[in-house]
Amino acid sequence: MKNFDLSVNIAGVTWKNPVTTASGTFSGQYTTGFYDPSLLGAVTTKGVAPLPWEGNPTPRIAETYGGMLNSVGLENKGVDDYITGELRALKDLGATVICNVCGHSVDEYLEVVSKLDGTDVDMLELNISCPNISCGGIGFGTDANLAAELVREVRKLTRKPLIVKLTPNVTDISAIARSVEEAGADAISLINTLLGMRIDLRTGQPVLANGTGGLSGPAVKPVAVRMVYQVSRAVSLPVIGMGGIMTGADALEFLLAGARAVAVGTAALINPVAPIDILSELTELLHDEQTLELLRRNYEH
Amino acid sequence: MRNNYRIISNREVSEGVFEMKVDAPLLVDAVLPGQFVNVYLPREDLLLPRPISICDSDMENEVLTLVYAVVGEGTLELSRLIGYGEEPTVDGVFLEIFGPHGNGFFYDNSYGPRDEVLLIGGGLGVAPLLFAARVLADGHFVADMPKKISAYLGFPAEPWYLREFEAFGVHVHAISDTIPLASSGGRVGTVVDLLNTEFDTRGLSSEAGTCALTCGPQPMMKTVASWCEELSIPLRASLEARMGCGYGACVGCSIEVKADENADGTGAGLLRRKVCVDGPVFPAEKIVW
Repeated sequence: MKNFDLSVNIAGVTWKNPVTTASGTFSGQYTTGFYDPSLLGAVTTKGVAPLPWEGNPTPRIAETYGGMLNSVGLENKGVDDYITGELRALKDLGATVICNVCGHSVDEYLEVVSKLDGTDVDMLELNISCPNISCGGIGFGTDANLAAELVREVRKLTRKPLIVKLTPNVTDISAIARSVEEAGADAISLINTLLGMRIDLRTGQPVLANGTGGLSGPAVKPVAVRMVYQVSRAVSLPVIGMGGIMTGADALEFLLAGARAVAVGTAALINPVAPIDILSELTELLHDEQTLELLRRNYEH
Repeated sequence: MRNNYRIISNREVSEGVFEMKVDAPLLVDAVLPGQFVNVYLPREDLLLPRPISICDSDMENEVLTLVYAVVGEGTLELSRLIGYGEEPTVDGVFLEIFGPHGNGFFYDNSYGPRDEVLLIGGGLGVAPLLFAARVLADGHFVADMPKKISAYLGFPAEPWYLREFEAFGVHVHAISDTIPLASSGGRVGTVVDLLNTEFDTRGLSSEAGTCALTCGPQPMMKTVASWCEELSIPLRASLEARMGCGYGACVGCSIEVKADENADGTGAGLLRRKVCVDGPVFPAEKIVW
């Protein structure tokens, strides 16, 4: 295969290829045992808060038809541990790192962002879309005004490229996307998980201890593709598409829908090297002149 | 390590409990007792791998044994696969396996030398103890072989694998919740009933250099843990958890464990640990039952 430039520019940061990981499915400690994280365009790390979060009670995982529900609830060790631990290790490995940032309140988001601003993290991804925490998260992502307000406050604190991750659990995702664009976001990623539930037929109770959880995996892909298509036409920001990408062909579908890059999530829980496999499949697909022509035509819109 | 392995046999050893043997030349010398593997199902809608504990690894014949219970759609699917050793017409169904994962029972060398090791298992938890019996019997992973290995095994109905344990020289004591067995004096009951009798008759204690491993239902292990604590017998317990990835990324199987105390007695708080990579085996005194 001849050398082929797959690099993309996302908010001023050059990724060597358009593939990253979806937050919560990549571990700087464990995934790096399976592949070199600098092989990907970027790696997106799991949400970090100002202080350690315990997450939700277990069971936190339930399989569904062609998908899975999770209610992890953003368990994390806090931003200080992240900066000296996972971030340091990933930067030392030469990775382009996107840190997913979460909080229960504007102040909590700001505290994390101000600490990360002084580091060599490459990009920030504001998680305003986690369906598994009682306050914060999705509360910001379902209200265009709150979302914009948060982005404006964060924007004041940092010049790091700012990705805002949107939730699909809204009536009009384009409105939220436009709102965060106006507030100063540099890129948009979507979709986070769809709020779902599974009932245990023996107990009559939800399988997840938290009751509800976020649905991901191939089952959500058509919803994700539709929303990427809508948002990429509603805003002029680069869009990072995700939701059930299992193959290179799935990734291509998101690019054709209007995403500039893609993130691999649930597939990596099934197979830790999935992002690398998907990248090589996508690379092969992009060697086709007709496919490239389709992509070029789409970008012109 | 993720590979396809040919299934040799897949048989029901007790109601709803299946034993699967696979040709696994790449795995047999890489696995440790108490570890598990992720098993992938040949149906795309069943997305997640199933974490299955390793029941035995026969390095000589390159055969890996997995024991699982049919508890849902995935394990039901697994139970339908046919091995080439059972049907001459079957060329050999391949099973995709990724692993091993987890720390295993002998995660450090502090487990020997011992005079006696107790293997305390309930239901499906009996399975990984067989592999532990094998390595204890042949001196792997333990500085000195124990003088004696005793197994206390509880079953909901018919017992299984008693002969397999005996083949490793284990003194086997079995009891069933429902069926009177000769080895338990014709009574029915639980593993804890067995242990209590044993305690009465031969006065087990840590001074005799006894240590124990357990795997089974959580309430059983909790009782075993307090029994061992009372007798100052060091115990390691293998926990079960609903997992997503099995390799540390998804944080689905996170639990709280007790932290080590500092020398001045402070710092003994709770820590979050992942069953898949930090366990599944933990020292019983660290587990929040």
